[in-house]
Amino acid sequence: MKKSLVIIMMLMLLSGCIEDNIIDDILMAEAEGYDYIGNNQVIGTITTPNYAQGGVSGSGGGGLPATASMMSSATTVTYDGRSLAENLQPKGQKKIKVGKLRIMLFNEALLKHGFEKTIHFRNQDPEVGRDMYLAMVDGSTKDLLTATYQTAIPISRYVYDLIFQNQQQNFPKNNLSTFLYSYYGRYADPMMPIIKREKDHIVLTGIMFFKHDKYAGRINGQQKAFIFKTLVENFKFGFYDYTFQQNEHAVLENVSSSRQYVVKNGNSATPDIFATIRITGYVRQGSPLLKTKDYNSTIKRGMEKDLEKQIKKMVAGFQKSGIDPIELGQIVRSYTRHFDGASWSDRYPNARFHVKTKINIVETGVSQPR
Amino acid sequence: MFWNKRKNQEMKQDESAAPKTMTDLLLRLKDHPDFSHYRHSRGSFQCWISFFNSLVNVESVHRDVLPFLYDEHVHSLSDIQERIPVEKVEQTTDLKTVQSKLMEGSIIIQEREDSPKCLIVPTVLRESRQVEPPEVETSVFGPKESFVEALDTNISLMRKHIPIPQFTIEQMRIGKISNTRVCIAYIDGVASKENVNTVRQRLQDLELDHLTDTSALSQLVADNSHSPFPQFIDTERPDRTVNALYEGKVAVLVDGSPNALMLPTTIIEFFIAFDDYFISWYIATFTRLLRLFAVAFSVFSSPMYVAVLTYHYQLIPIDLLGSLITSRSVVPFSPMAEALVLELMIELLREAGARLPTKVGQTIGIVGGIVIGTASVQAGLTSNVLLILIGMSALAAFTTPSYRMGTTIRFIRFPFILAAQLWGMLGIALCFAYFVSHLLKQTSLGRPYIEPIYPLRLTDLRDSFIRLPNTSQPERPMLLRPEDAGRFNKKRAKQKVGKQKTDIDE
Amino acid sequence: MKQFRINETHQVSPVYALFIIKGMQVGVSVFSFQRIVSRDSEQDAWIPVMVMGLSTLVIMWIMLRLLKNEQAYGMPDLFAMHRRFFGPWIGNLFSAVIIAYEFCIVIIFMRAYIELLQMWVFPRLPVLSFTAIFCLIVWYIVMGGFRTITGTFLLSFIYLLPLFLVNSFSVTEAHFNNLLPLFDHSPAELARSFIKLSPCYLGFESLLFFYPFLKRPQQAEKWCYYGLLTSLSVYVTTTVLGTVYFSQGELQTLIWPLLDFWKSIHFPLFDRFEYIGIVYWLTVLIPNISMGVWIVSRGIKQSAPVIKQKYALVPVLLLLILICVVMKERSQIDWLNTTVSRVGLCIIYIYIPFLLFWQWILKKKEGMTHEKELSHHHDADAAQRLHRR
Repeated sequence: MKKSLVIIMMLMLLSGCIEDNIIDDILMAEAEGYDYIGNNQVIGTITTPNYAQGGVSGSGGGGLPATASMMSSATTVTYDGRSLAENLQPKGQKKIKVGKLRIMLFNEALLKHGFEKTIHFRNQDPEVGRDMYLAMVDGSTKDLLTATYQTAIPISRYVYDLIFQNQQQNFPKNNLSTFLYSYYGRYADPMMPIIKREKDHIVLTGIMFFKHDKYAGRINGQQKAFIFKTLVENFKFGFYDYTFQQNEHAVLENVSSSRQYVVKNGNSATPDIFATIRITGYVRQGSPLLKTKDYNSTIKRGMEKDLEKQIKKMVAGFQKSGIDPIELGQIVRSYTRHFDGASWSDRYPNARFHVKTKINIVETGVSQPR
Repeated sequence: MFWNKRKNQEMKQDESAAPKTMTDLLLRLKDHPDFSHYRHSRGSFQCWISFFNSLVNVESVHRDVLPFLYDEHVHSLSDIQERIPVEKVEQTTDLKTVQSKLMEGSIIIQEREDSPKCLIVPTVLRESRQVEPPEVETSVFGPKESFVEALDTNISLMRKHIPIPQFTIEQMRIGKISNTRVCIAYIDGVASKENVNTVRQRLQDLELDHLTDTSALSQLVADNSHSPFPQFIDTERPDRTVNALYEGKVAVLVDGSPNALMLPTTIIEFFIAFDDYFISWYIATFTRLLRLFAVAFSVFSSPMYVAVLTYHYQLIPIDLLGSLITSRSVVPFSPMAEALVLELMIELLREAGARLPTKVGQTIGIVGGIVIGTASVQAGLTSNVLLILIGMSALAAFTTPSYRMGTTIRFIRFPFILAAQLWGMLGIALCFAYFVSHLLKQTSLGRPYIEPIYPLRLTDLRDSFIRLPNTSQPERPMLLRPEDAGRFNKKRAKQKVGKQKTDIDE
Repeated sequence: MKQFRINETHQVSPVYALFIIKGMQVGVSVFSFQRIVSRDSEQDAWIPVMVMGLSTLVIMWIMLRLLKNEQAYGMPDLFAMHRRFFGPWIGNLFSAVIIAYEFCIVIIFMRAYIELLQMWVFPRLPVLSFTAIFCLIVWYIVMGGFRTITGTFLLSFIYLLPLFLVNSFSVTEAHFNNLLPLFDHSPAELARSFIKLSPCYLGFESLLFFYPFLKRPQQAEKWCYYGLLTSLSVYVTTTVLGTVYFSQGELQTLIWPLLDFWKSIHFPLFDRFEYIGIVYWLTVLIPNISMGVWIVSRGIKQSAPVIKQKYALVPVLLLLILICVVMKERSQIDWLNTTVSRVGLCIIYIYIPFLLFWQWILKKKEGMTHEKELSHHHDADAAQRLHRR
């Protein structure tokens, strides 16, 4: 008994050499930004939130200086695909750790150049979580990350919350996990949201699409995002603005939207894809001219037609540029026995996409229209 | 070994020093101030009377013994024995019996001073405190009696609850010098013969000079006395003891100790308050689960704090990071150092509170809680978050109904904190694995210590972390291997509850 | 005459066969097998997983047959069987091979876990002190005997229940059409997956060693099957989870898909479930290694009765520590892993049925001699054997 105790103590003494990460003695990078400057070089920016800045509550005027790390952002020039944390270490007075990374931002140039190395590096790294957001920045990421905004919360949380909130609504769900799903997935292409700095605000402006790891197009605005979202997922909180005549709008608030695909002739040269989209919603911002009867006949039908038109246009655009963010290839594969994957990329642009939307307006507000 | 030899020699000397004859004994006792030894010469019969003033019930001596010596029909010791209205009067020539009876408070009557033939009249003074409400194991509901220091009173307290002849009490003497009375109590036909034998065997095999309390006894008869976990419950509540006896356990009582030992015990019983049986089973289950959670919290909260803050910052949710870092940022120590400082402080407070008189103890609690706590945060010695965690875990440890187990739980926190500092959560897991395997190997009176869990016994689980209603517990615990396994007839119990209604309002 | 039965105080109830068998089968490979299985059979990966699980039921039937028949002759475990079937010399040689095999499994398991720890939690974890402390705990458990080991199996089963409940979090983000179209792969592809899968289900052959420690072995049979079905369900659900949560292309890039899935789980009180999961997995490792070491040390005792098990245990553990420290390279471990899993496959599908066959032959032979002896009415040995039965 005594002997084993001695052995345990000795072993414990022997083993006291694991590197520690005491939370107030490390710099936690929460946002990374990459700006491509040509020739495989990037400007990398990281930000770390400065928690001790606002004075320490409870220290009661003891006059003690906070020992928490202070750096808030740093920038360096490096080659594409290199770990920013390691590279910026000379600028940090404490260890820079990426375990709590929440957003990764890229500028358009880098995405046009292709960012395979960066994303591959992320996938390899066990330290980073899979629920962080990737986004493209219109303009410079460094600019966006280091600017001052109306809100005082750290920039990383600001952007994170912005994307999170909007993905609950019109924008499709997208984080590192789903990105990697379609990035490495065989018949699918990834996408990511676009953000932009407007003076002291950050705005979510649209969605960009990849062809494998390269920029291949974008859509702007909530309207388009809604249309896109109906195709890729079932969701609950969105809104669609329908202009039924000049300057007359009806806004459909989504209660639920579901999609269903059926595929025929999956292995032929022109596969047929039938999509059915069912939307249940209510109209809150209708025109005073409209009556309940109108909603159920003309407006509803008009909206369905409009949506179908928009969707077809969008899908045709995707097919033309050969990108597949809706993962139609994946859908065709799952409906086809012995799916011919090799020729899919040639057949995809020729696929016939049919869509049918069914809108159900459940209510139109609490006041009776005139 | 040479020291063993010397010890044995000393023991021998002790034996040789014992008085050899009656005269020898009396000679030795004569000088004691409370020893009365005189010649009774009036009346028809002359004799020598000796007793300890401090041990005998003087009133009863004057009333029940001495007057009868004046009786004119008294001519010998046997005559006295016939006439004295005291029970269990005996004649003996055995010196050892005489000596022990004398030391217990009997009167010795001799015809001549040097005669070995003695009449022993038991006139024991029963001086003990009143039966009072329990102080350690207080309860809101249920009986409010507790054991006292007198063994006979304690037995009577139990007899009142078990009015059957099968309730057996075996008495034995333990301690070479002290010769303390120890009783084994059980219900014959319910308690397992094997358990009773084991208890008897262990008590008989004890080798010690004196015995003062059951808690000391519990360590002496424990299966593994090197374990930090207590293996038997001692209680001051007669009702709880009786309940255990009805379940088929064996109780051990020691003269001079206000506690009864219940054997065998599983670890789960340490977390059962006796109150639980007096409240609705939903609420009892809830409080038991709460206590279980409290134990887990109490053991793991500060080690987890140390582990997570030292190694696994990734685990902290982002919204919590801010408050953790801000409160930590003025603290110059590593998380382990600050945790140890605070834990030690709490232990000091507890120890100080336990040693001081009740009224001062309360003050210490207030001083400790408010002054030291806030001051140490303001001085930047510890962080706010840790203060809350440690305070809560101390509170959680005190929810354990058994104080003995509570101390163990507070103690095992320290190896966990050290392990957390070494290898973070992995260290905690290793430490946990060690303690779990320790518990797996542990036995109580040869019965598995963590019984309803391993070996898995569903019938016993009904009264462990959860408590099902009484009607669904028709069996006694399997752990005890009772001679009579059934408490009551389940079928009849169901019938008594009533038939299912055929319909609403019928 | 040797004692054939284990003292009842060292035996465990039949139910524990479930926990032991499930515990021996589910190991570190749960984290990584999805990738390997789906390389050839893609969305149909669950089919080979299921088929292999069902095939283990057949092997279990053979094993139970073998052990039940053996009860009549002596200690119903593999080491005693070897001695009876092949004589002391060749029998002990076979036992030595089996002991080496079991020991290799222990090493692989230990190394795989250390690798996991070094990859995800502590890159600079000192192997020596970790294995040493770990082996101390294992020593402490094994010294408690078979009952204590069984206890750790039961507890690890209980601990793991919430861990597998966590997997239901995947449902919200699952792409169930990843499973379609069903049965889209040729038998050859499925067979290739089947062979690669073998290290997962290995471990249930430990029944050959602990069978004498089960009370009422007749009742234990059904629990053995339930144990196999439990691990079957664990493997099938994790395969399906890997398929629906990841796209096939992504799955191929992940070495430990289950951990990558856990990475995206977060609770209000903590993020990053995989750290907890990995550390939690220690509770799976402990019973497994304890059992392996127990088998090895018991094998040594059975083959060479001079050596007591508690003395055999110490060198076994020291050797384990030594090998874990010396074996540093991934390639060595991979080599050992493939070799051992192939050997394991042979043991399960070829050697065990062969043993049953051999036992049957022996019985026939004995029956013939027995008849002869009976006709002579004189052989004392036969009478004794009868008596023993």
